[in-house]
Amino acid sequence: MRRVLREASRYYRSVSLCSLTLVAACALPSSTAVLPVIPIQAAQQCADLVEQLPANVRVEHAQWVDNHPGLPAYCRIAGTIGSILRPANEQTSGTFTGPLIGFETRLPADKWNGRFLMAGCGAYCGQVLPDRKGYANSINFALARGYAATTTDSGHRSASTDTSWAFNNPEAEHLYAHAWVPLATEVSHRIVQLFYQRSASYTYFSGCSNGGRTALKVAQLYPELFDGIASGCPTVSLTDAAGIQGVFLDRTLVDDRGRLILGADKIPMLSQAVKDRCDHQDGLVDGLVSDPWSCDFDPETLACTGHEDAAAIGCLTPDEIGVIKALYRGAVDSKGQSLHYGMSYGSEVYWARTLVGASADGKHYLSDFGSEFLRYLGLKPDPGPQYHSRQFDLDTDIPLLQEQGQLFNVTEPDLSGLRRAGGKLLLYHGLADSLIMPEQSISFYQGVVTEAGSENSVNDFFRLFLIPGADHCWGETGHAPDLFDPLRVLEEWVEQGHEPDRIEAIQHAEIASAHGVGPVVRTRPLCPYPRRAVYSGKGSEFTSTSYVCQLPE
Amino acid sequence: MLCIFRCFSLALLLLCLAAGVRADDILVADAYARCAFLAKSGLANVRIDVAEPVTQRKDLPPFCRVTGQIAPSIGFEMRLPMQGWNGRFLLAGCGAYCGELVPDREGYANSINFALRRGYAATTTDSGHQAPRTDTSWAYNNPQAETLYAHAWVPLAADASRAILHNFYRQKESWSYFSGCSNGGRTALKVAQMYPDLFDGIASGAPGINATYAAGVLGVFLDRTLVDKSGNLILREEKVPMLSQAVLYQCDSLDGLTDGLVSDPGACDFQPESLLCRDEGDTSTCLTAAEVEEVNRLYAGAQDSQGQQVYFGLPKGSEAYWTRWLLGETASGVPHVTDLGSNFLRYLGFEQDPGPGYHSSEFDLDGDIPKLESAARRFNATDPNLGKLQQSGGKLLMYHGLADPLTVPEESITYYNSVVNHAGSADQVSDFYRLFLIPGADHCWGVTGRAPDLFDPLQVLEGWVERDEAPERIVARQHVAVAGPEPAGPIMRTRPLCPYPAVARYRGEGSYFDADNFICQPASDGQGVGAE
Repeated sequence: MRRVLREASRYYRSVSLCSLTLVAACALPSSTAVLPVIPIQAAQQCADLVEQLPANVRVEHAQWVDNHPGLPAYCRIAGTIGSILRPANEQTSGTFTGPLIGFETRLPADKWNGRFLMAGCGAYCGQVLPDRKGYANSINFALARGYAATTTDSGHRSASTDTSWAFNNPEAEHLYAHAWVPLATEVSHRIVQLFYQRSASYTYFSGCSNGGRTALKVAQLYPELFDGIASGCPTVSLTDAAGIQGVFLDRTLVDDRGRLILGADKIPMLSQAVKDRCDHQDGLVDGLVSDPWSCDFDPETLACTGHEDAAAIGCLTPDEIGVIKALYRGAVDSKGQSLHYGMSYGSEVYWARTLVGASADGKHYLSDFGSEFLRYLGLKPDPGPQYHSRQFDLDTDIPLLQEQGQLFNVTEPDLSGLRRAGGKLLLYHGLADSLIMPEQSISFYQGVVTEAGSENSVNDFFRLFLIPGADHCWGETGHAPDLFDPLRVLEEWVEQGHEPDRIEAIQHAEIASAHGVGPVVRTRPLCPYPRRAVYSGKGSEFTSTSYVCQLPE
Repeated sequence: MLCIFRCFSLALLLLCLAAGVRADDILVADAYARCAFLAKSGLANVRIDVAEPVTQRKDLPPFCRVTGQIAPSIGFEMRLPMQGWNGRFLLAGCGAYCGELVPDREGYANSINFALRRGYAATTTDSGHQAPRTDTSWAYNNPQAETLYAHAWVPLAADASRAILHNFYRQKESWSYFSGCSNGGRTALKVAQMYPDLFDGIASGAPGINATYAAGVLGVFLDRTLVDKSGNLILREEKVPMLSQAVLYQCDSLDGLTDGLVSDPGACDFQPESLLCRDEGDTSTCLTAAEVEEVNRLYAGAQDSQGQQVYFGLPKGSEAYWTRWLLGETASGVPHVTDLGSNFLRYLGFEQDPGPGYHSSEFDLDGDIPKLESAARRFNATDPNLGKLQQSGGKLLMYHGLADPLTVPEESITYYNSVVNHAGSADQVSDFYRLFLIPGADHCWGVTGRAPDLFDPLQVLEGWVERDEAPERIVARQHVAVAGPEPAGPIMRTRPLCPYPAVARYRGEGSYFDADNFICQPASDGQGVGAE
């Protein structure tokens, strides 16, 4: 069926061009035809389709954009979708008129490749960010390759770190949790149909962080909605990652007066020291801690001797060592029982950005991380703005997160619906992710395998790729071979039937945010878990072809 | 501010005092008058074009700026602090072929602002000609300009500066220093050899001591090695991060400490063949055969037709800086050192300048090196006799990055050894001359942030000269961000630099990011830094 569609789409693409461009141009022999630069009909169609959209869609912008650097000319449709929620499953019955979902859809005209992408959104969403760079929760990288794509705010408007929108607002929470996806997808499909006069040949969902969590929700709750789903660094358990970990970080990173104990100044030293100690422990000296679990770095080796004041340079004070050890150990209860995963060895270089860096207003990035979650999202009923994470008792209060956990967390290891629907799920996670621990993805993967009975029975539609040295959702790149386009992997898998036995990842020379800059330093394969990339002993250690994917011994 | 201008008369001065104006401001007010007066001071051999107070610079203390020309043709700028003068005078060297006045050059190399901020009066010059610093055509049939550039500008500029300084402060300086890097470091050595009485302390950084080799022979070699027959770079800067990291991965631990630094390049036996491309596909993450050959040649250094070593190769561990000095392209798309050899030979290297028609490809490494003899006498600072400097009580601090790819550290090591040989023993020289090698450091702090390499050479000299504290170690800093000559980001580590031939060794306990936990030790066998 898909092949038929694909063949059809190839034919149809040229036909659809004709519908968008001057008929006379299409009548020319294709070898000499020069397509008109601006298909006037496309611009017109972009404006016209607005009137044919369902009543719950309000369009604020319908404009033809032909001067966006790096992008093909596209039709921009931006507005809101009224969330008349339909039951996603039996538990949520009935319909109600809910909050508005802000969205933007971008549709390339003559360069359309027949595909559609729905992007997830990060953190607590709340903003429509169509020009977000990189591969995480962004659409322009896909648009540049000819995709039609939609991005949304998931149903509320606020800063992505703000949670107050959820105060006594279960409808908005429900939308944010997953329910915005089918609504926005249906509208997007309608827009695609109206603009191209046909539906997309292949549809994909891609998201990272909260977008990765949403992707997993989609795989479970709406398995027929997309042909391929990419889930990056997902908050498989939001109540663990924001609740327990948030409470833990609120207590660990700052002193009694709310000042950071470990400052960003010490991070380069710490990061270098971990690398110095553990780079070789994975069997290859390559500037990467590829197996964080084999690393036995001890921060005591950097202890200050003689001058133990906070201004100490080139060493760690006892308080700093205390924080670092706690971060590696992770949240524990009063008896020392582990409650959540600790930070990966090798993730330190990213702490400056994710944990201990200061934002423009002087606060560190995760200040009140736990409080923000618990005030409006984690607990039922919402305790509200007065609540502080220090009131949360890690010994007894964790069960209070259970109810909201069912809404947000991806607890079901059952992906049989996705298998039946024929969808493919690509899961990836940075091994040096300091915001969402890679163990979240690993344990989810293992749960699915256990549920299904064997690895073989899931690997034809679900694979996990761990990325040594990689940050959370490419927040910072250039430290490790971590860059790849998840959609390309899915396209091969979905459209060509090529299962990803390895993914070529790229490391660029300069440290940057979200996307690579500078020349390529190296390529390295990422391997389907539990396999790891092992140097074959021949060829440049900087070239991925010198590596094979192997099961660990 | 308005008040300041009105304070010239005593009456007004008293009024100002009564009005609550700080005594400092009055001193500044006096300095205003004296600064402006410098323009009319009528010094012999000095033409002063500008003498003006500069008070609005946020990055600098208020200073009197004096620019002009010293006979016969030396352009200069002198900056004299208008308050808080520390009694010291600095004359800065100039880099490459000089020719430009760059008073706002940052960092410690051939610059003056770092000293001005600490209260120095300081002078920088163009060494006697006006041209872009990579240009050599000013020297065409111009032996006078060459001799000025070689060394003769220094006593002239020092005398003129002292006269201005005296006019301004009405007293002599307590201490005077010369500091230069690269060509400025070569000049510093010339000063130590030829004008030993001129300064109390001399800092010589990364000197191209054998200029005829460091610019001539190395230039010829680079002209031939870096580009193919069509003049295109063979190894391009895109490959440098990979190459640099490969060397680090292989050689970091060889000095006994895994710390992200190649501290003993001599022990590193990295072979670029390990990165050789195996198939004809994408070559972005491996080295082509031509690239491997070039890298091997750069490590090996210039050879004659018999394969005899003519000059040193580039140090292992210097690769990260090749982009900056050798391979990076200038705005006009030309590699940085294009025609390095040709430029030197056309106008500076031979007794009779062959001129613009000459190309370094004509230079015969077998037979032509003796033809550089007259230039060697003029420019090279190889005289091993520093007896007069010792007698005059001057101190000479020499430093050189072990990862300097432009002026290789062997220049300084060889010279140091020659001075020791001439004097009879290291003990004979260590009370007035010491060499500090800087593991991982670039040429004159061109790029910092990769190694613990930052220190202020004047502070070291001050201790030695003024308090008789001979430098047993210099604590160098590594800042976080890879940047130009200015430190950027927080300090990531400190590490002592040690007087050659001693090397810094980790004590085995305490943080190895802290200089306190290192001691300077004689290099053990086969582990001598820079041991050849």
